[in-house]
Amino acid sequence: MSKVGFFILSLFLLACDKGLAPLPPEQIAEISGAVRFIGVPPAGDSVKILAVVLVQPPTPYAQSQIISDLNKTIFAYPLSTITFHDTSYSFTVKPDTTYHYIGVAQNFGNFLTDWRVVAFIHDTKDSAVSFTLKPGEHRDSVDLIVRFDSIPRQPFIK
Amino acid sequence: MKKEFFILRIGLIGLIGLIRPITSSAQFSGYVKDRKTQEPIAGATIGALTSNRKIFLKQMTKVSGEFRIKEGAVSFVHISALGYHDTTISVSIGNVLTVLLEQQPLPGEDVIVTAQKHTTAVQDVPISVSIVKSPEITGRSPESIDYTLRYIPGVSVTHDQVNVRGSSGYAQSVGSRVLFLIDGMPFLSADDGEIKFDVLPIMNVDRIEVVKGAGSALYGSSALGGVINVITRNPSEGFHGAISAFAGEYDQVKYPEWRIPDSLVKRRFASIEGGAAGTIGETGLLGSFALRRNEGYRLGDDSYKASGFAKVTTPFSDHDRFTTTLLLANENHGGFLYWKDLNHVLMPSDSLGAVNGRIHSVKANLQSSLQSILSDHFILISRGSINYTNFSTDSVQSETAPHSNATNYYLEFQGNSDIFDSLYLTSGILAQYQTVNSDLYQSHHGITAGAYLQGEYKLYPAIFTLGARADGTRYDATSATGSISPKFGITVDAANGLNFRGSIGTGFRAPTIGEKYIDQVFSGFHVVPNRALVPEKSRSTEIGGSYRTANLYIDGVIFYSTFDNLIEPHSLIQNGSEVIQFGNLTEAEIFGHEEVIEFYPLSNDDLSLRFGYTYVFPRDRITKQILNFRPRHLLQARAETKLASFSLSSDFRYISKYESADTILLQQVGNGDARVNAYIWDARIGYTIQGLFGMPVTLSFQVQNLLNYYYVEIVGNLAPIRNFSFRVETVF
Repeated sequence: MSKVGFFILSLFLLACDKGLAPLPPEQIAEISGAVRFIGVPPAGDSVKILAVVLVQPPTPYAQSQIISDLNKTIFAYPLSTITFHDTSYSFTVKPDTTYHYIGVAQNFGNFLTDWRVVAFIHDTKDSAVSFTLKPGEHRDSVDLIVRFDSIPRQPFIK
Repeated sequence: MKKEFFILRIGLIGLIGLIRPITSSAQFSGYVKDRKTQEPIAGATIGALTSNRKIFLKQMTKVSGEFRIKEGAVSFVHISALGYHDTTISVSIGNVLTVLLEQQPLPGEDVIVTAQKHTTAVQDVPISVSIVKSPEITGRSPESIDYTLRYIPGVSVTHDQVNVRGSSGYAQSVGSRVLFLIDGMPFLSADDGEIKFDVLPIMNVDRIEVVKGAGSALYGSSALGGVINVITRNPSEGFHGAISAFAGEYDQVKYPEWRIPDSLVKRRFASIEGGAAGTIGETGLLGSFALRRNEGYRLGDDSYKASGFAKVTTPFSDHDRFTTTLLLANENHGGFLYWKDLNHVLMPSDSLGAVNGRIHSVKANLQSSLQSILSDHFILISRGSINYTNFSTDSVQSETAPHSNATNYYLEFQGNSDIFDSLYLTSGILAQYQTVNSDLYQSHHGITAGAYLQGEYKLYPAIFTLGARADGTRYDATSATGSISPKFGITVDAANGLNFRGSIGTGFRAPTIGEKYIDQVFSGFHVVPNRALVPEKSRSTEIGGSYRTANLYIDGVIFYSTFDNLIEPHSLIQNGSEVIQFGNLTEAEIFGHEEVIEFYPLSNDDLSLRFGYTYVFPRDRITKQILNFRPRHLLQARAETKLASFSLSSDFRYISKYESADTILLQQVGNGDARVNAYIWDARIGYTIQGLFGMPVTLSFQVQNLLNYYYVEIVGNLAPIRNFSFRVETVF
């Protein structure tokens, strides 16, 4: 075979690699549920971003850490609408990892660091529930209820 | 500003100083023109032959394309020019001839108008260029011209931003760093400085010329990394028409996780384009209309496009030719911007781009030019254009529903002169006025004035080019900013097809109205104005050479470019708030080399092979980090053959994955760092039959991304997956 033919065949074989692929199941788990809004929502201009967040320990007690750690310990799933209609969410997460809590966070001010939690899964003592997902596990129906007129204790603040 | 005024004066002198009346005291005379473009061909060799066809006199045509034979018993003339078929015609005393030459270049012997602002043989140009012609453009059934640009050696496209040898990279909402022209006139929107590819009439694009490297010495702002000139067809003699239609479908993706229900995404696409050309008296008319529908392979990524094109050419006299062109386009497309994450690559991000929101846009471009041969040695070309763009968005989020209306008015007077035997002068003056009305950028206007002068001095076997342009730009009532852009180049004809070239060029890009004045909240990020932005600057240097024989063309070049004040978005604290703003942030340098080989193994063009490889090393001069969105390796290969009524062609592209990306974008997009080297194969087969009334009908089948290779050109954006299309084309 000529060198040119070998070169072309090599490129062809490289292309057969198929490029990008979904994350392997053993590398991900999935969590999904619904977000419900109850009560009078705040003015639209005070809601810059509304996102489902999933936080790994250690809990970021300074709000600025929410942004700086966005891609490290916090998984944010921005909701597609801020019209406060009930909606659903679904996203993949790293398995075998302990998550400190899951909730809904609101960016309300002029700073990207102006965040507050408006809903989260908690136990009867108002403490966030930690959980771990196994590889390939899909935990559904993790529903979150947002009450803007009665926001929960802020878990990010010591 | 004194230097600018000096250059302006020089430009004016060059423009008006060398006019002499046209006289004709010759035994016989004539003009040599390009049959397709009707442009005068300067430097064509005229051989005067006796009745037994012996040459007794030779001369070259002037800048007007004119020649005069004053002596001897001439029976025939032999006309030859680089890049054209030779021709011999019989003549009579007193004749005034117009000789039209057909383009038929040998490999590497094309002519180009963009590099020097007049028709020049490629090997006489001191900077790297590429040319793509109509059959290759239409053969790929592109939906828009940006698709074609991806196959030009050294050129890549990242999310509608054109990269020439890594010059542009990608910066969100930053204007084009490559100047885009239609028939020599700027075609960038007045608000955000973007290229609106969907306006271009694919059927009527005659060729695309790409000049690689800074080109502001002739073209001013935006020619930072290169110049791309789309040249449209001219009306042909007699009446001709053409219809081209194709329809196809995107394949299903391999991974079940990625699939979305067919009820949401149909994945089909279709296009129909028809046109006609003809002449009424000496006036040429040409028009075409296109409708395109693409259901998209991603959710929220479908589009409806309609565009129209009309061109009229008419001679006011033997020495004047007027051309006017109108382009219109209307588009409506989905708001897909980035994927949701790597497990949902066909689903849009919930926060970035709106599934239900659509973007509507209208574009209109009217341009006219008048080419006047004022004397044997002087041509005046007057150009003017109005370019209007409008877009509006019906996003589901009220904060991101922008609209913008922008208009660009352009006027230029260019003079070409060869009054001195060895010196060809190109000079011009121009003005540009931009006006924008937008809720994104508010209401602003800008005005630009410029002048340029370039000389090409022939000292066999070398040609020296020296030129400069001065530009001043002013927005609203702010003070003007000026730029002076010099250039120098040399070509050497070393004989027997071997040529060398070297050039130093400069470029600049004035910040767009969008970059300076944007004031809007996007997905919670407040983007604020920066009225202190200054122009980006570049300097590019290259040394190269080419070698050609009857069936081989080899070109190699090494280049080094520096870029100052590159504008990019960044976050900062302003008045107690964290905001996003465009700033003059990056000082960059790019070193690289490029090789192009074209091979025609058969004596005709029934088999052609082309190979282009570009390597760039792009880094920040301050931090020494690799620049964002610049692939280091770019390889493009093409093979094409004809067997009786069949035609076969295949393209391959390799694009190495960019090593660095915008961190703001990476934070916003799920799995935004997922990227791979890209290997893309396309293949097509065509068959031509004689249809009704002897009209040739070409049927072709094409597969793009044959191996269904999954890759991204930009963060969180799966490039087109494998798709099949069937095309029918006929001309009459």
